[in-house]
Parts: sequence; C-alpha cells; structure tokens
Amino acid sequence: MAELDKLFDSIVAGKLEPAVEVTGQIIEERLDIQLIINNYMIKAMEEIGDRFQRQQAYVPELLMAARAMKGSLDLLKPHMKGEKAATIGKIVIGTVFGDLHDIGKNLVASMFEGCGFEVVNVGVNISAAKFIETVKQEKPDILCLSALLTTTMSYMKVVIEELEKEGLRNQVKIMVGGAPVNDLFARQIGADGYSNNANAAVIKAKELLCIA
Amino acid sequence: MKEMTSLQRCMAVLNGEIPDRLPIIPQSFMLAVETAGMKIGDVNKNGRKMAQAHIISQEKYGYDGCVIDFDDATIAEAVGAKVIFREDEPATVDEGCPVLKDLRDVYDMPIPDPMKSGRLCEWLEATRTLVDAIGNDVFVMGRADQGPFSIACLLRGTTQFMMDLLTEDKALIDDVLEYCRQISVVFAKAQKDAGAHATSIGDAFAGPNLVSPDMYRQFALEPEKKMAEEIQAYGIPFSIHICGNTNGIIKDMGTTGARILEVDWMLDIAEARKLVPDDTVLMGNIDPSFPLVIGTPSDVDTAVRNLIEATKGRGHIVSSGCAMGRNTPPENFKAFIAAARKYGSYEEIMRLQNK
Repeated sequence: MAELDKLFDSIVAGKLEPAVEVTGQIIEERLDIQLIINNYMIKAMEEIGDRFQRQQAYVPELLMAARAMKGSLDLLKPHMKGEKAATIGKIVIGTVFGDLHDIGKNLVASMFEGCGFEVVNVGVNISAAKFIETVKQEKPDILCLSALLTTTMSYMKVVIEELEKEGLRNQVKIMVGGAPVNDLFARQIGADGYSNNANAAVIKAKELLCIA
Repeated sequence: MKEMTSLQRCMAVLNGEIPDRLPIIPQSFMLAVETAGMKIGDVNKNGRKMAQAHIISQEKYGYDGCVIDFDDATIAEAVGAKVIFREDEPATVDEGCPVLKDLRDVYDMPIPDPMKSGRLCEWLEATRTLVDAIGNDVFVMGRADQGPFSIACLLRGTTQFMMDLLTEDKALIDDVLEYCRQISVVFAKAQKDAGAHATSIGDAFAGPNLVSPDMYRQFALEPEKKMAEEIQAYGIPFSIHICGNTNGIIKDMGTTGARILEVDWMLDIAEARKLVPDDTVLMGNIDPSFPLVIGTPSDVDTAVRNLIEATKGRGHIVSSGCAMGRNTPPENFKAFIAAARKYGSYEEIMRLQNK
C-alpha cells in the first residue's frame, strides 16, 4: 500500500527521494491520482505556505518543498486519465520591464502551481506588449506583476493602462507584489490585489476567483 | 551648541556623544546620479563620474554623508561572475550563469586585486576623489559591496545556494563563506586605504526575508563577526547593511561588533535600540518606497518625526532603510533632510531623552 501520509510529510519536509518513492507506488497501484494531488500534495504545499507566512519556514524550505512536489507531479502527469491535471485557475506571472529580479516571483509561481493553479511564468524584464500578447494567447484568470525597485514598480501602472487600451482589462484580474509595493500603491494603480508573501498571494488569488 | 561640520556630527555619534543635530546619510547613490543629470550606466564604470555625482548632489541637498555604492555585482564580477549592465538601473549578476557550478569549485577561485580586478578600482577612485573634494567636512562611507553570505548567493545562484544550505555539508558551505569573507575583506581594507571614513557591506541575502534567524546564526553571523573584527582592527568603522525585516536577527547583528548597523523600515527601531549594545550606531530606517517615492513631503516629515521619537536620537544616524530610487521626488528628498534637522536638533534630542 502506498503510504500517502508519507508523501504529504515528504513534500512538507522538502525531501524529494521519499516523495518519488511513494509516487512510484501510487502509479503501480493505479490509485486515483487527481484525488491524491488534491488531498495530499496540494495540502502539503498549503501547509508549507502557511508555515512560511507564520515565519516557521523560509525560502530554502519552501524551495525544497516545491522541488519535492514538482518531482512527484512530473511522474504522475503521464498517468492521469484526462488530458491534464484539473486546475483551479490560470495565472500568468512575470517581473516587469527594467527589473531582473526573479527569486520572489518564482517562489510565488511555484506556490501557485503547488496549490493547484496552472501557471505561465513569462520571466523577467517583461514589456507591456509582451504581457498583452501573453494575456491574449493564454487567456489567464489572473495576471501577476512583480517589481523589486521603486523605479520599475511604476511600470506596473503602464501595463495596466495598456491592458485597458487593448480592452483586455476586464477579462483578467491583476495582482501585484514585490518589496517596494504596498496595498495603497496597488489601489492607486488600479490593481485588483496585493499580497506581501507567497502564501498570502495564493489566498488572495483564490479570493479574487471566489474559490473557497 | 556650536555648529558642527557634517563630518564632526557623524563622528560625534560614532563616539557616543550628542551632536549639534542628528546626522542624515541617505542611501542615495542612484538619486545622486539622477540629480547630477547622469545615467547609472555612464557612471558605474567611472569612479570620477560617480564621485562627481555625489559632490553635485551633496552640495545641492546638504546631507551629512555619502554612501559610495554602484551596485551589488562588483565583488562577484571581480572574481569572474557574468554581469548585466544597463543604462538606467544598477548592474546585476547574471545568476543564470553561476561562477560556482559546484560548491567545490571554491577551492580554485582567485583573490581579487583591488587595483586590477573588475571595477573595484573605480569604486576606490570614487572614494579617493570624493574624500579629496569634500572629505574634510563630509562623511564618506566607501561601501565594500557585498558581504560573505550575499557573495556566496551571487556566485552560486541564490536559488541553488538556498537549497545547498539544506543539502550540502556544513563544512563545505563554511569554506565557501570563508572564501567570500576573504575577498570582501580585501575590498573593505582597500576602501580604508583610499581614505573612506567608514566602510560597509550589504548582506541582505542573509536576512529573514530569505533565510531563518537560525540559519543566519548558523551561517552568516560568524563570517560577519570575523570581518567586523578584522576591518575595525585595520582602523576603520565597519557597517553591515541588511535590508528587509531584521527583527528576528537584530540582536545577533549587534553581537558582530560592527560599529554601525544599517537597518530597513520593517525593523522596530525603538526595540532594536534596546537589543543592540549602546555604542552600536543604528543607521536608518525610512521606507524608500512609502513615503519617499509614493508619499508627500508631509508624509516624509511625519515618518522622520516618529523615527527620531523612537530612537530618542541615541546612537542614531538618520537614513533611508535601503537604496533610494532615482524617481524619489526632489521635494520629498528635501523634506527628508529638513525633517532630520528639525526633529534631530540638540534641543529636541535633549527634550526626548529627558522626558
């Protein structure tokens, strides 16, 4: 019998090898993969995210958990019945033009992914035109913009204005984050949400999409 | 009280005395470049231009000290890291192409030569030029770029190094950090030789925004402490800059013996004043984003008043919590300096301390 609690514990503890081991048993025993993702793996990422927010876990622990989660998920995906894993929403995320910071943005992206969202991570130094092109192509539920500089955070406003000009603003929720950004600024530039850490970002995204 | 020069004011605080008014040393290299009508991309390979930017900006605004800083990529570059240069923003290390593909590569890494390696000589030229021009009256902090833990992140790639901390041998990681400490020391000593009144390192990657206070104590604290001892024995006050939320490690930072700690806005500075030794100077900690960029002059005034009330002017140099953006409105910058003078006057400080 596959030890599903061990899978949960391994992801929370950021241990790839035991997570992969249990995953092998899951495949062998032809268990309901979607159910296991929802009830054990996503739950594990929610647990580590919660610890992160409560400052009981930090970036190294979160990265290791995400690595264990991804290692397991990559093995499971080919064995899923449908075309792909069910997602609770689609997110496009990137760091805005002029800014090359990606650690925080990648952390948020992997938390979204680990918690059941489909994530398109477009990278750093992304122009408004590139965000617009990606929004048209991917049709995400939420667009997440990251900036770590007081100079580049003003570019978030440019992205939002350009989306408006293209008539796309009402089709997508916008979340912003990064060290210099705060709630007041988010409201000033017309974003739908702000959060100051990776776990809060997941909670905010679910709130925006009315997912309990 | 007799009016002091900016330099006397800063030295008074470092000597544990009450100055004629609290000194203000903004972390303003990017704003200085903007004020001088230059671009960081023209300046960051030319020490004389960088000094010129500081001279123009200091003369215009009249603050008490200049922090010479170009970017956080210079030490890493001096030992072989690939660096991305841009016109408008500081240079950054390309962490996608790490120098340390394996942590064990550290045993083959070079010790940089301050005169020859990368742009170290340009930083030092900036220090020399600035000290020659205004150093008799104005405090010159010649930053020695990054500290041991941050250098390790930049050479290895931060994401990978974060995971190494949990998976690799402690002894190997300590060897990496010891190498990074050694190269940081070379640059810090060269800053003294160039005439800087103090030198500092940024070790922000070791802060609780990335790693736990336990990990800070396990990995970053000892190299910082050893470095502070070595540099101060060499005859120059040493400063450690860790931005972000340092509430969980400020007491430990106080044990490094560094004469100055540069602290960011998320730190409870009144509490911090009690947690670090009385003779440790706290430099900070107005939020560079709000109020400095997105607030009004009146917001800035209020923030500075609250800050000085919190420290009561004890061992305090007024500053921004981290580097100020080049888009900081000039009226906010003026308000910042004016407020430090108003609420940091000798009379105000005496009133606060006797309350």
